[in-house]
Formats: sequence, C-alpha cells, structure tokens
Amino acid sequence: MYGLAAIQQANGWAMAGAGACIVITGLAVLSFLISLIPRLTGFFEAKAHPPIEAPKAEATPKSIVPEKLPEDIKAASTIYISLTGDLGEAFSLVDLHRKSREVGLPHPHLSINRFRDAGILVSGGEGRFSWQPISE
Amino acid sequence: MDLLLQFLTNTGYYLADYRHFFMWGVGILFVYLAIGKKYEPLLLLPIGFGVLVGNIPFFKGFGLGIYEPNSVLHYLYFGVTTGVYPSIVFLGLGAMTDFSSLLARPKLMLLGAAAQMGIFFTLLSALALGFLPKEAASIAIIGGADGPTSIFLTAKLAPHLIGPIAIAAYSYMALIPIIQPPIMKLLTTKAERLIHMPDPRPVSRKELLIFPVIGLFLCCFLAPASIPLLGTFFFGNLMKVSGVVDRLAQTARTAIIDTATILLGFTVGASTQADVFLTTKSIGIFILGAVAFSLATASGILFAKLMNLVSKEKINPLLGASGVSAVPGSAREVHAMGQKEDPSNYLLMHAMACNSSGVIGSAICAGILWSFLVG
Repeated sequence: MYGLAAIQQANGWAMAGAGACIVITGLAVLSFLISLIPRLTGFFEAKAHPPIEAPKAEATPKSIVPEKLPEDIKAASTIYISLTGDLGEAFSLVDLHRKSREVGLPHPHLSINRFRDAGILVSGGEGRFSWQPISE
Repeated sequence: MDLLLQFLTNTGYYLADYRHFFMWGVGILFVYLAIGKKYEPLLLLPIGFGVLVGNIPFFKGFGLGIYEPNSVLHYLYFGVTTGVYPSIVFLGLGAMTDFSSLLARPKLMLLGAAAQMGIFFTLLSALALGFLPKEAASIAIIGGADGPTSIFLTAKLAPHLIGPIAIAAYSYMALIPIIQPPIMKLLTTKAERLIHMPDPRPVSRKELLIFPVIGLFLCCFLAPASIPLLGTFFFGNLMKVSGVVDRLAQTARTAIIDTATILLGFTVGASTQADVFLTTKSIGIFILGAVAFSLATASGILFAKLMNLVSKEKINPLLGASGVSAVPGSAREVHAMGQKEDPSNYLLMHAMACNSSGVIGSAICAGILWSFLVG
C-alpha cells in the first residue's frame, strides 16, 4: 500500500501529530523549568545568607576595561594580563575566562584563543597557562 | 591439483562480483572523505574501513561474516544490535557537553525541539512510499541527525536496516557543510543573518548540577524508552559538572566514548555486506534520509523566525539549523555562516546550546517512536 492510504493504515497522522506535540511540549516544559532554576537557587541562597552591602571603597575592575578591545593583539593582551595579577604566574583558562567575564570584556573565548594562537598565552602543562613576554 | 583448485575457488578474488566493487568504492570514498577532506574523520574512517572489511567476499559457512553466528565480527556487532554502543556513546557525550549556554538562554531549547519536526514529516513520507511502520520510524529518525540514536532505534525496530540507516545517518552528518548552508541561506534574509546574540549570562555551579537531574526526570518520565540514551547522557553530564569524579568523567569523555565509537563505526561499516546492503530499500532510505535532514534544518530555521514574530528579543534564525543533534558540525556551520555575513558575529556558543538540546530532543523522539511501535 502506498500514499495517503498507507499513512492512514499505519495510523501515521496520529503518530506524527502526537509525537511532534509530545517532543515540543516536553522540551518547552524543560525549558521553563530550567529558567526557574536561577530564581529558586537565588531564593534559597538569599534566605541562607542575607545580602551584605559591599564596601564602597573597593574599586571595581571595570574602570580599567575599555568598551571595545583594541584591534592590535599586543595591546589587547595587556588588558588581559592586568586581570591575572592576583592569579599568580600560572593560572587556568577557566579562571582567566571568569575574570574577563566579571569585568565585561567582549568575546573572551575568542580573545583567549587569539592569544594562544599568537603564542602570547602558553601552556605550562597540567591545565595551567602563563603569559609569554611580548617581543617588540 | 584439486586441492589447489578448491583453495582458489574459496579466495576472495574468485568470489568477488560487481556488488563488492561498488561497496569498495563506497568504503574508499568514505576513507578519502575522512583523510583527504577531513569530513567527520572520527566517524567516516572507522565506517569506511569497516565497509572494506565487510565486503571482502568469503565462503559462506566459515563463520567469518558479521551475520554468521559465533564469528568475531558477529560478537562485536552485538553491541550495535542490542543498543549497547549508542548508550555508551551517550555517556561520553554527556561527559563532554557543556550546558551553560543552554541554561543561560533556555528558550533556545525550543529550537532543538522544532528541528525534530523533520523526523515526523519523514515518518509520513516513508509510510507513503510503502515502508512498514517500524521501518518508516527507523528511517525518520535520520532527521534527528544523530548516528547513535538512529542506530539505537533501528536496532530495536528494524534491525535488518541498521546498515543502510547508519550509513545514511553518518553520511549526512559528514555532509553538513554541503547540505545545511544552502537551506540556511534560502530561508533567511541578510538582515536576519546579521542579528547579534547578546553574550550569555554566567551560570552558577548549582544550576549546572540541578539540570541533569531535572532533565533526567522530565525526559525519561515523558518517554521512558529513551532511558538507555538519556539516562547515560545525563549521568555523564552530572559526572562532569559535579567536579568530584574528574577521573571518571575524563575516562567517559575519552577512552570510553572512543572505544565505543571505534567499535560502532567499524561494525556498522562491516554490516554493509553487498548482498544485504544493495537493495532498492537502501536507495529509498538514502533519499528519505536527505529529505529528513533537510526538513529538520528547515523546520528549525522557520521556527526561529516564528519565535521572532512573537518575541521582543530577536534571535538569529540561523540558530534553528543547529537544532539538529549533529554535534558540533551544525553549530560550526551556523557560526561560520554568521561570521561570513559579519565577522564580529559570534554564534558558536548559542548554536551549541541548540545543538545540545537537539541531542535531547532526538533521543526523546526515538523513545516516543519506540513506544508507539513496540510489540
């Protein structure tokens, strides 16, 4: 049997319709639930630790970061190098990425990749990285 | 002299016919695509060489072929026919997947769901072309663009079609750079392709820890037949994000998934014995597979455009194409096309979010189809 009759015979319309609805509904519900996770965790954390006002005197590192990174890779790397001052000589890329996100640098993944490609950021093994001195 | 003649008539040179030559051509093409063009080499190299091995003619009854009981290849193939290898591959995938961009923007999950519509359109098309319902469902799942899921469902519903379906699924995954870009370009305007996505918000460790548990309960309660895939997938992910079993997570995403991929690819390739593989059904499967994959890409993009009509925050419709679960191939294509239009447009992380939701979506679809047709 072929064509619409075959679809009808195999209950195809119902299978396709029900299947599509189930998968869309399932993932929509999952999407809704995961959108609630931050609120839930935030709610419980707020209960456990009442917010403490941050000291005003502490300067945020945002001030040292320009809105747009310079095109020149060496100039861009100096901004990133300044972020790793308190991480020590060798640091993990996760820490560097976190720091750059904290100060709002645009596209940190891409910039870090560029530094690695250019040999400015080199691996010291065991997941640790360090800056290479930039030759003029 | 008789002994020599008998020996010669048992050699592959004597037993080979045109079908074997054709299949060697297919095997060599796969090996070439893997090595020469670097198209999905991790998949195409084992499959391609498996095709060569599986199509060496031999005297039936020696206990050599993949379909002959007690042969070595038959034992290795056991992992395919029982769905063991796909389940192990999902464990490794889970241990590799970073859900943070999906958790940062949960609505991208809908694109992973929308791209699964290709599966259901293809189910109807396959039924209309005269395939039996179980065969049609196995062919339709190619639209999910997920090799292990296709193999898993086919092993359960239509094991005689594993060879052509696996080859079709993996071929189309490898051909993503050829199949998807024209569809993406056709269905989007330049202005849409230029839409920038804001950087995702940082995601806390708690969110990453809660997600696999919620995902497991929701998806596996909804489609219990997807437990073998999603159970291991979310377990692998929990190992990764927990940070307390780094050794296990590391093993799952390296040695375990690599071993399963090698055995899966090689035995699926070897299962394409010419006499089993070269049938008119296989041609139909390849045509329907291409239709399924294209429809999945198109439905993801069109759904993204629909979301833009009703949502204030615009999303780049190219992301819809990465709702198929071909990780990371389709995300890479979306990113590449976005960059082609505007080099400062970085879509990769957002596309990976859709991709990972596509993995979940296609596994749910496999579970749904299995439940519909079991028995």
